[in-house]
Amino acid sequence: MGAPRGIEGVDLVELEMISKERLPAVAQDFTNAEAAVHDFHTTQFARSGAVGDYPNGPSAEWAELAGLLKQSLSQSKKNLEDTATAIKSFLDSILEADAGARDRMNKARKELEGIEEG
Amino acid sequence: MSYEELKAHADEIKQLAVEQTVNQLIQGTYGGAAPPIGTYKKLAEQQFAGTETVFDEWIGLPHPDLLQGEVGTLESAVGYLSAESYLTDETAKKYAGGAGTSFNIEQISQTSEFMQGWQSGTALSYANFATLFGPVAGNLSMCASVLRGSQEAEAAIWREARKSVDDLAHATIDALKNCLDKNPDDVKALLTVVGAVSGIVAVPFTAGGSLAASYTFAAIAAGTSLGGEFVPDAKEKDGTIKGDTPSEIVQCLYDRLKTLNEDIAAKEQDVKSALTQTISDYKAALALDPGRSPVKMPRPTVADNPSLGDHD
Repeated sequence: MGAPRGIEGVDLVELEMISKERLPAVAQDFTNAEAAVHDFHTTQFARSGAVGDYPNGPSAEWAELAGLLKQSLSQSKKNLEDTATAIKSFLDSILEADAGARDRMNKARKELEGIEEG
Repeated sequence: MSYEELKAHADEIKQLAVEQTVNQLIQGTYGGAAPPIGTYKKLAEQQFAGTETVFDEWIGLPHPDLLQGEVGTLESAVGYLSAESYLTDETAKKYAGGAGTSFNIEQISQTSEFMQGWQSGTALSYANFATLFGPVAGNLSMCASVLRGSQEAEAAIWREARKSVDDLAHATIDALKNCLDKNPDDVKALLTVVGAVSGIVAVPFTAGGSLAASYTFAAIAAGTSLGGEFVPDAKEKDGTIKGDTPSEIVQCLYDRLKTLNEDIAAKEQDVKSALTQTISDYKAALALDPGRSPVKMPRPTVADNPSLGDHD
């Protein structure tokens, strides 16, 4: 099936915002969250003497749960990025197939910017 | 004196124990035929051999400041994933950290309605993904908060452990200095490490949309961000150092250290249990299909088929 034609400008702007702003922004948040979990050093639970849950306390459990969370974050981030790329590709295909689409999108964007500024 | 001087504390305790034992022996033989002081000292040295190592196991404890410093990093992870408005359980909200819902996550949820105007399975798949995005992000945030809570609990445990062992050292030194008084007061100290983890609460995964909600997170109420200011447990243990002789006083110290160690081990076991429970529940949640799993974000089919069809 070819790219659809006659899509309204405001919908094209929305596709652009989703693919270029919203999905990438939250993908970056997931990247940051994954990095924040990854940066923790479980060796800090270690103690040299036989005190408490010697020698490493709950390090292994902490690391396992952190690993599960990072795995989820990483997979989600990839889904977000792939989805953004795919929607951007879909939008590009519309703009390529429909000669008036870009003008409608630009016009709608200006109107929306006017509304936001007003 | 402080925790960092535990080795010096141990040396002082041994020295005082030997000196006071000699003094007691001298007092006990007052007016009678007494052996040379060197003999008493030799006996006392033998009696307290090894006392200088009393704190050796306690010198390399985890550093609470370093642990607490990393809590901030974990706090940022919780913040990036914050989606409190999608949590349906009041207890879960309480332990979510109070960061509200992130603007970026809110923006994704709002795209669901837009996608419903497109005529295709991929658009429907995306709309479903966007609807579930907030609840799943909230659950991932809850998971990060369990990690943060564990970290805070460990920081609190070791902060109190260091204080308690240092307090015991001071109390022992004071008790030894005063043990020749006719009626020496007991030197009081409290072993407060038992209060470092004030409770572990099972928090359900949010029941957003069609998500299964039969799993729980083990939120750990420790540290400042979850449990407020540190509050000693009502069952905090007596750390009083007492004894009529240096030998009894030093033995009391060993007994208190044993109790302290048992408390620390029990509290660390609590933290470990909370993590283990969460790992088990998280794995069970991961085994569910996307769209049902509380922790698995669905992959929109448009990601693999870049078309949303036509628009209404």
